[in-house]
Amino acid sequence: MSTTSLDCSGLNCPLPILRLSKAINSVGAGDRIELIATDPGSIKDVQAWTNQTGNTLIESRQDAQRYTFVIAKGRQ
Amino acid sequence: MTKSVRHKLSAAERRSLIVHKAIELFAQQGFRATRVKDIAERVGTSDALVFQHFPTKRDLYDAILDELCARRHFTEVEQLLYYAPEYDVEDVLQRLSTWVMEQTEAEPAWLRLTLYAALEQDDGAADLIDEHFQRIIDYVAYEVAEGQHSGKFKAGDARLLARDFFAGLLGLSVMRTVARDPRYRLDPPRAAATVHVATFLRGIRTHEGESGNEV
Repeated sequence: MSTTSLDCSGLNCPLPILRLSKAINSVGAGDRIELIATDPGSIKDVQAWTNQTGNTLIESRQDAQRYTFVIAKGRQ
Repeated sequence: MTKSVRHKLSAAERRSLIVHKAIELFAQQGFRATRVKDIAERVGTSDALVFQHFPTKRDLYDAILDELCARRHFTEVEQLLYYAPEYDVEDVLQRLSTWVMEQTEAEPAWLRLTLYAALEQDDGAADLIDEHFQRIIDYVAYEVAEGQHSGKFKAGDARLLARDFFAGLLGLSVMRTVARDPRYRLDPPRAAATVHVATFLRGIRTHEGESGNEV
């Protein structure tokens, strides 16, 4: 299992999800992406996206205006 | 004794009313010409109460931005982008452009605020408009850069091209909604958006990226 970091600081939605989607396609099942974003809209978007795409949101934390999400790729 | 049926506004309702009345006034007469006193009168309250909700003009701008924010209405396009991995860029740009035109026709205040911000060179107002439009320009720049990377689009400054795309769309909306020029209103938003997107893509597609669709 590997973790890839994806820094989307300064990007507005929909870009963090588009980049996340692209990044998840390039890793294997069970691998993780650590996404960093600054758009508050990303909280709702990442949750909804992981729910609907069969990936798993392992961790979600906020530090001031910086949001960090750890997503594990599903087996689909 | 007869009970009063007058509804006393909650703080949230009053705040929302102030924002709506401020949008109306800013769109009618510009940012500079609109005083807090005018907004208070339109709401039927005092200057002090408006200041209580919005201590600075910037706070009011931010609230207006929230109200007009693209995110609230961007859902259909985002859903397509998020959950249709093989989405067609031309289709997405058409939906996005249709959305911009429909929104500006449904809420003409949106464009009028943009024009006043430009005319008055008001930094706060310009920031408001920047934030409002930036999301769309950023997205278009992303797609242009992706297309360039895959060889479908010609090389060039992706952000500049995205701004050109958006400026054309905005100009079209101004002629349709603010100028209300009938020559720009012959087609419904969807048809006008289709032509705008096709023209833009024709200009940046490489031979490899040509779809063969002619408009």
